[in-house]
Parts: sequence; C-alpha cells; structure tokens
Amino acid sequence: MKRSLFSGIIAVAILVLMTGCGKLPQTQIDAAKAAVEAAKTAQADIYAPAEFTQLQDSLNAALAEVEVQNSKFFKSFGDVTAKLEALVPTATTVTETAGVKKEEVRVKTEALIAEVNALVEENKGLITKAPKGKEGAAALEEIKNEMTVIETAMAEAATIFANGEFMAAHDKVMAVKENATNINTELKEAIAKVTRR
Amino acid sequence: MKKLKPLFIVLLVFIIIAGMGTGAVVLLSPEPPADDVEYARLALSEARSANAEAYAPRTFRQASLQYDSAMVNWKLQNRRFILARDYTEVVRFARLSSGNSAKALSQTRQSETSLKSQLKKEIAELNSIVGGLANLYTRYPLPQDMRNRIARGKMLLSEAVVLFNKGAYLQANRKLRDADPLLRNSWERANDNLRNYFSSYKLWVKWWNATIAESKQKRIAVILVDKFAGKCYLYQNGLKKAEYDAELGMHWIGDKRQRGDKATPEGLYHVTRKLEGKSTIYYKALLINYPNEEDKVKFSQEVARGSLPANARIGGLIEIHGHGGKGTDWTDGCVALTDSDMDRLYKAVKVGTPVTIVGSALPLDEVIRRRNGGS
Repeated sequence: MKRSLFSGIIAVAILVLMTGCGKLPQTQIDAAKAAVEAAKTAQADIYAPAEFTQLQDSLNAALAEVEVQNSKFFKSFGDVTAKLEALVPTATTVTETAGVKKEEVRVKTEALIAEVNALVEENKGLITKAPKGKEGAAALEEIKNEMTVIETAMAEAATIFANGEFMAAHDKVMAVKENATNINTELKEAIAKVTRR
Repeated sequence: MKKLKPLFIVLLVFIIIAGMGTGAVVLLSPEPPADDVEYARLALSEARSANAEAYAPRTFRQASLQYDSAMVNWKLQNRRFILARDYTEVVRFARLSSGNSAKALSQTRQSETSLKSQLKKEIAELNSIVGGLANLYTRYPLPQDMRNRIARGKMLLSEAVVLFNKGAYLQANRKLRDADPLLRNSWERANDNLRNYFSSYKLWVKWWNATIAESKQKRIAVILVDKFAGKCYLYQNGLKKAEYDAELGMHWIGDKRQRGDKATPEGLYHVTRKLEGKSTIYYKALLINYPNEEDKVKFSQEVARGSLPANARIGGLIEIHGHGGKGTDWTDGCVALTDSDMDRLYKAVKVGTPVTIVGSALPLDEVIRRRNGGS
C-alpha cells in the first residue's frame, strides 16, 4: 500500500516537473484579442490612432510573452495573464475615446456643413446683387461655375458624411468653405464698391 | 521504520535523478528567441507609429508578415518536446522583420520629407496657375468644358491644401494628382490658344501704327479697337483723345470667319453710315464696311479649301454701337460702348473715319506682365 502511494507521488512529481506549473491563459488571450478587434471596429485606428497603435503593440508584447513562457520548462503565466487582463479595460477605454472623438468630429462636421450651406445660399443671393460692370458679368459667370462645383462638392461631402466617414467629410467641407468664403468676400467687395460710388 | 528506509532511499535517489534530469533538460533546452522577437516587435511598432503602413506599404507588409511568421514558428516549436525545439527559423524571421521595419521606417522618413517638399512646390505651382488663369482669362472666351475643369481643379487644390496643412501628405498628394491635370492642361491649352492668337501680332501692330500715322498725316479722327484690352480709342491728329471700355462678340478671340460665329472682325475698315434714332436699336451706331475686300477673299479661300462649309455665308452689319456696359462680351460681333461714350464718339467721327480693329495693340509678353500686376 505504502509502496503504491510513493509510486503515485513520484508519478505526480514527474508529471509536474515535465509539464511545468503554468496553464496557458487562452481565455485571457481571446478576450484581449477580441477587445483590440472591437477597438478597430470602432475606428480607433482613425479617431485615436496613437492610442490604438499602443494597444496593438501591448497585445503583441503580451503574445510574445506567452511564447516566452511556453518556451520555458518551468512556465509561469501569472504576469502575462495579468497583462492580458489589463488589456481589456485599456482597449475599452481606447474604444470609448475613439467613440467620443468620432462623435466630436460628427457634431463639428454637421455644424460645418450647415455653415457652408448657409454661405452657399448667401452667395446665391449676393450674385443677384453683384454689379455687372466692366468684366463683372464675365467674372460672375466664372463665380457661377465655381458655385456649381461647390454644390457638387457639398453633395459629395453629404454622402461621405452619411457613410459615417466624418473625418473625410470634415476635410472636404473645410476646402469647400474656403472657396465659398472667397466667393463671398469677392461678391461683397464688388457690391460695396458700387454702393460707395 | 526499517521497511520505510529503503523506500526513502529509492525516493531520494529518484529525486536526485529527476533533479539532475530536469537540470540537464533546462541546460540543454535551446534559448527562447525572446530578445530577437522583442526587438522585431519594437521595430515594427516604431515603423507603424511613423505611418510606414502608408509610406512604405510593401516593406512594412513584409516586416509585418515576417513578424507573424516568427510568432507562428515560435508557437509551433513550443509544441514540440523541449529538447527537440529549434528556434533558428524564428530568429531568422524576427531578424528579417527587424531589418524590414528599419528599412520601412527609413523609407517613410525619406518619403514623408520629400513628399512634403514636393507637395509644397506643386501647391505653389498650381496656385500660380490659378492666379494666371484669373488674371489672363477671366474675359477670355474659354470653352465651357475648360471653365468647368478649372473650377473642379480649384476645388481639388483647396482640398489638397486642407489635407497638406493637417499633415495628411498622402491624401493631399492624391487630391493634387487629380487637380494637377485639370488645372495644368487647361492652363497649357489656354496658353497655346492665346499664343496662336497672338501670331498675328506683327500684322496688328502694322495696322495700328499705320492708322495712327494716317490720323497724324491727314489730321483726322480715327477709331482703334484693341480686342484683348477690351478698349476702343479715339485718336485725333495722331494723338489719343479718348479711351472707352468696349464689349465685343461673344466669341471675340480670332478673326470673324462667317455669319453667326459671334466673332468681332479684325482689319482696316471705315465708317460707312452713322445711325441714330429709329435707324438703330442700339441707341447710336457707326456701321463699318465689313466685309472689306480682304475679308471677302479670305472667306472665299476658306470655302474653297473646305475649312468653311459650302453653304457658309459671310457676315455683315458690323457696327460700333451703344447699349454697352453689361460687363461681358455679348454682341454678335459688333463693338458695344456705353450710351454716354457712344454719344462722345459719335460726335467726334464722321462717315469715312478709319476704324482699325486688332487682336491686341500690345505684345503677349507685355499683356501678361501687365495682367500679373506690372504697370
């Protein structure tokens, strides 16, 4: 009886020695990978790029650490498990940050679109009041051409915005705003000159 | 107790053997490639942070794939018995990845710097083209499709500038690639057209100077029209007496070739009739002898050559008349002045007064210099 007990103890000891004492934290690995993927789906790579790169790198570092432990005879996954677990709330924060920034850009772009649309409408009104003196009518024709392009660009920006690409829409509307503002200034100056006479 | 002793000895021996065995395994097992992989990961991360994915996509992708290969190989080796593991491939992939990450980073830094300076230069060039187009061609009858292309090009240029200013050089570059042909081709086509138009400049100057000389010699009034300047001049005894803004045919560039082409003719003419009251619908008018003999010959030659259709008809009824001041070139080929200017001109001339119409009284270089702000 005692002999078999000793044999059992020896067998367990051998098994423990051979396999090491750590268990691969697969659940934590999967959770961390899923959290990083969720951050990417939330466009963290666009709206919080630095934080997302850092997050991705932390995941890579943790996965490398898992393999370091796997390479050892005596495995210890304690530290890396903690790192992997910590990655999940970090990824959630990055996802939330991206969401907040995206919403900020959305609101900003929406306001910008409204502002430029108002400017376009104002320009349409100014065109009717603009003088058609020397070269005035020719210049107005050119302005009308540019206003057609501006309206097309605004329609494109609205489509991009509707597709959820708020940053791209913002950049486009900023360019439109510059052109629309130039036209507005040009028209106002021309009208002011005539009024002064 | 006595029975336990041999067992204890066996256990002790076993533990010693197991310990020695474990020690041997630990000592003989290959060193995990942690440092190489760590170095590769850091290099890849640095390249990613520098946006190498966009600036050096091929090299970065290679580095990324090689890093993944290193990790996959490492995992595979770790599944084998500890003494049978071989990390050579892992190390090889990790080192290749590090090398490519470093290369991608260097390519990124170089590309970004050179792209930035290239974009800056191109934006300046295209802005100068936009300025040139505005200075030279606002009144010039460019084809509508070209005007549309210019307007689209200007919009794309603005988008490129917005992206450039926020450091998104690759996106700015894409916008510039679209803007460039629209603006540059329009500019080149317009300039070719203009240079071609000014090829008659020597003849125009000859007419211009001859008309002023005639005014001086015969002590008479003459009318000169500079189409490019959009001006009508009254000379008396060889001296400029008045200058009026003139509006021309809708397609005023080029000589008049046939009826309905809305071009203003170029040549040496004279007033054949003075019209006012009910004889004209344009307040007051000075009818000129278009087509003159030279115009008729040119027209016949064009029809004979086939450059004009056989049923084409030569134009006529070209006048200097009132109702101008619309700010655009709107006539069917006549020269329109404001009614008040027409009053003054009408009073100063008579039937027979020479009327010389030229494309430009100034050479093209001078026109460009003045339009660009030279005095």
